[in-house]
Amino acid sequence: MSTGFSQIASRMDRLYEYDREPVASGKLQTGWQFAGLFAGEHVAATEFVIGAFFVLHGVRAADLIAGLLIGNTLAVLCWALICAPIAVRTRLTLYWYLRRIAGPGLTLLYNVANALLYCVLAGAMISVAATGVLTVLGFPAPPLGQVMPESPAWVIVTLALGAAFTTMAVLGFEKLSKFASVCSPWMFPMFIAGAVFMLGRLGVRPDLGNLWEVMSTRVWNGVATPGQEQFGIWHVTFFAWSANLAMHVGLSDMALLRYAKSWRHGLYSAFGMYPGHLLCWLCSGIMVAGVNREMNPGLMAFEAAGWAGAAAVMIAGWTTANPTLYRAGLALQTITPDWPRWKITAAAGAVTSVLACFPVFFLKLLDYVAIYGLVLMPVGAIVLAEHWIFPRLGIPQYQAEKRGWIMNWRALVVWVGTLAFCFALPTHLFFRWLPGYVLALAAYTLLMRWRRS
Amino acid sequence: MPRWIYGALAVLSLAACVAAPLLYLRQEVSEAAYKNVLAAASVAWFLFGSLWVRGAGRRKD
Repeated sequence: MSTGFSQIASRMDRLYEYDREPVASGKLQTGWQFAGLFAGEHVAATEFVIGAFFVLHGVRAADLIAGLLIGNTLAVLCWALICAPIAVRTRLTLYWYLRRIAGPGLTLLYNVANALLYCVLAGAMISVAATGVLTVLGFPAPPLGQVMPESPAWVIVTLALGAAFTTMAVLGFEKLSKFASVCSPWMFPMFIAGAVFMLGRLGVRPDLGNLWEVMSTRVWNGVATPGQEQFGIWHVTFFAWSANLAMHVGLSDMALLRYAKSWRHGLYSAFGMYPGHLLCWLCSGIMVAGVNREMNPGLMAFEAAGWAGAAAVMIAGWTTANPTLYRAGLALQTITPDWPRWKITAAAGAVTSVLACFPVFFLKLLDYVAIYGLVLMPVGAIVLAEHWIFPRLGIPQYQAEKRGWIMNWRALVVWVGTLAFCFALPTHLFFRWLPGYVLALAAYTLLMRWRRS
Repeated sequence: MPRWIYGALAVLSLAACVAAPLLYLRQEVSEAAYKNVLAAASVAWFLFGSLWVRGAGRRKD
């Protein structure tokens, strides 16, 4: 088993060889470049769904605004105070830093888990894009609560879109990335346009005199749609905080922030959080209220912005599924020896397209996003403990690298144990990651200290 | 055509995307006119935005 891990690990290292060395000082990026990156990344297809779900979950207007402000501020602080300082000090990606801490075996497991989670996320994005096509063609989208694919039209459209997105990802990831950079600035005005139009339909007067009244009685009125759980301010706060948990607390954005001149550049994540995870979520909430709370992103956008809106849903799904498919392919390439990039991207795309046929992934998107962050969060705690806590307690760092361990079993025990603890906690899913994070920090520190003694 | 002209036209297209719904809310244009302007402004953004970005790529080369 150890030999097998070693072989896979050496293949994996070759794949990531290009970013093995710490970033040179001449390649550091300015703050405004980070602002652009964050702004482009956080106005995605999923924003059409997440903001709408807060309306369906009966959040009150004041609770939503307060919760989003607090949650997004906490997320920005996590980027600036947790992820950026480690990235700036090490100038390494999480992949290479985790390899020093936990060994290549655990890094491999992390990669495979990440790839599977990416596939589901890309599947949800394809599903969102499919609702746009179905609306234009005059077919209904799957109703709330549907788990399995039941409509032939839905299956045909999702598979066709999945095949098209995969083909384009195989043929030209670079060109599509350039196209995505043109789409990003356009997406935000489309959210604004759709919401402003729907305000008129909801009865807001031209002088905006009754804006708050309409917001609090017709949009976020505190009444949950039948079958949906009632949410309050803390659900919103914790969701906004943890929507990108894998990126900030889970440290996967070390890949990005290792190019930062200072940890303060983590604060530029505010350019993604406040427009994307505050304004866009508010806009999609207004749009779903304008279509009588029907959870159908395609219909919402088409009603609110016509053909441009339907195109926005499809393009948002396409441009955000593309890098997700690419990342899934990159992560999966470690376990498929000698497969060329096109083949593994096609395989990841096939899996993703099949997953996209199951409406549960986009109709339960809030839960999925929470689970995605939760699964990868313990790895961030392990790295944080090793980087900051171990030197202060005199515990030797990077034992896996120094002793040539394939797998740091203590790190694996902490990861699995933390997940078991989190899934057993009798609280709402959104609240579980925080006690789990504290537990992972303490457990890993104690286990490594105990090993030393 | 100079690249800055493409940039200016692209920014104007985005401004039209935001202005159209405001005009609808102020009841100065109909729903159909708003949606047509939005579609036309979006096409214009992709056209001029792409030319603008392509120009930037060439300059780097």
